[in-house]
Amino acid sequence: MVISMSTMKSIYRTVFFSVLIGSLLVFSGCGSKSPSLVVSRVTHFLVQGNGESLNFPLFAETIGIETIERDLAIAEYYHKKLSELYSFKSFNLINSAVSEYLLSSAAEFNSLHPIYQYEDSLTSIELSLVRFEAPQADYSFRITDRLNHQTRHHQVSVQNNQSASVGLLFDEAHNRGHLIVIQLYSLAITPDVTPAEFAEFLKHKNSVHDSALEGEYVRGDQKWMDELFKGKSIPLPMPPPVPSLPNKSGLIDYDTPPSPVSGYLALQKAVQYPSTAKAEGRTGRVLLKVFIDEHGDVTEHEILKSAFADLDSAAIAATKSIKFNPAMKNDKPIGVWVTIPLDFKLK
Amino acid sequence: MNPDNSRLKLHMTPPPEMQSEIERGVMNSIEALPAPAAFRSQHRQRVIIGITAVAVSALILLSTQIPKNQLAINRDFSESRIFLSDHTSIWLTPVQAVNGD
Repeated sequence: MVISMSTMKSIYRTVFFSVLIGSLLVFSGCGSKSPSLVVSRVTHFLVQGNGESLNFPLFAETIGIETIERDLAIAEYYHKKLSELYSFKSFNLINSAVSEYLLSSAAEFNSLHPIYQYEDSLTSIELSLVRFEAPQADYSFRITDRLNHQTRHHQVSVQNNQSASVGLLFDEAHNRGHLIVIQLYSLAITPDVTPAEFAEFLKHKNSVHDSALEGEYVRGDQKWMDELFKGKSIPLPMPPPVPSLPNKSGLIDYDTPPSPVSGYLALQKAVQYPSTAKAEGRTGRVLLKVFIDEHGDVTEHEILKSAFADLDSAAIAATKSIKFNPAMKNDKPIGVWVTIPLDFKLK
Repeated sequence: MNPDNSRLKLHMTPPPEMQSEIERGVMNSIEALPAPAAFRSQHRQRVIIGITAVAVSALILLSTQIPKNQLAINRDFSESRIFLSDHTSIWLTPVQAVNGD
């Protein structure tokens, strides 16, 4: 087949300009989208058969008390909300995590952004943000059954200022499973958004429904403010820093955190409610900072948040009465500081 | 202008059977000559630009498709959803458990 020179030229011209226009359209589509700050908060529970309890884990020394209190308030909120839906009512808070991404291009709006990872001997869970298009974010769950070497993917969509929970039993015989709650907060940073409005958004993403806790700014919020508003940035009032316990060895890095040998439930059960406090109807939460040595014993303690003197004493006695698996570093047991929340509630 | 110019040209070109061996050889070698250098470089440039543009747009389109392809959702779990005012609750149950296997 013979194609004349002028025909070839016109074909090339057509192809070239149509591709050029197509590319420009694609890029202009990206350019017109304002960057969005997408905040995903994950709360992970281990749920099981019976009881109506909510148990808390140990918190690392490196986490501030304001973070611990926020995590506990969120766990309480979802325990109340979800225990009305599910037959099992025993929730054990495993972890909580917050990820904040500033998405500014089409590629970033449609890419995998890791949100949360969990792994134990039975299950591993990977949660990623895969797509964001205001007001909705799509998340993918990658759940691996490590005993049967099976991996499954699931997708869940969450609307802005809303939440979704995904539950899955891994031990049907004992009705045990994972329950993961995702909360989404997002804001498009358009030229109309003022630093004051952005500050309100930051406070809102840190707030907890149905909680007495005021939305406070956390470390990292000022960084976003400075980065996004540069010269117009406003200072955010930070909560006063909690005085750290004078620690002989400073922060201790570990690979595996310590844990109660008989589980977190055993720790809560070890608490002996003082009879006078029970008779007077006194309740509260004690936040204890304890040193768990390389043998798994509590050797030192400090009260970070007191309830009542007798409740504090009962909390200290409970932590000292149980044995812990010590924290591990390079496969060797080491002593570390952790924070333990203990609740005193009357039914 | 001579209206019979074309005919005249025809008459001036001898029929092939009348061309000598030398004439045919010369004509063949003229036809085998490559296109002028300027045309060749312009042509190559256009081809390169065209291919690059096609490749770039293909890459952009592919990159936006990747997450969708990675989300092959398994069907061996039954999914029950409960919608509350500000919360969606999803419970995944293995299909075997639903069937009572």
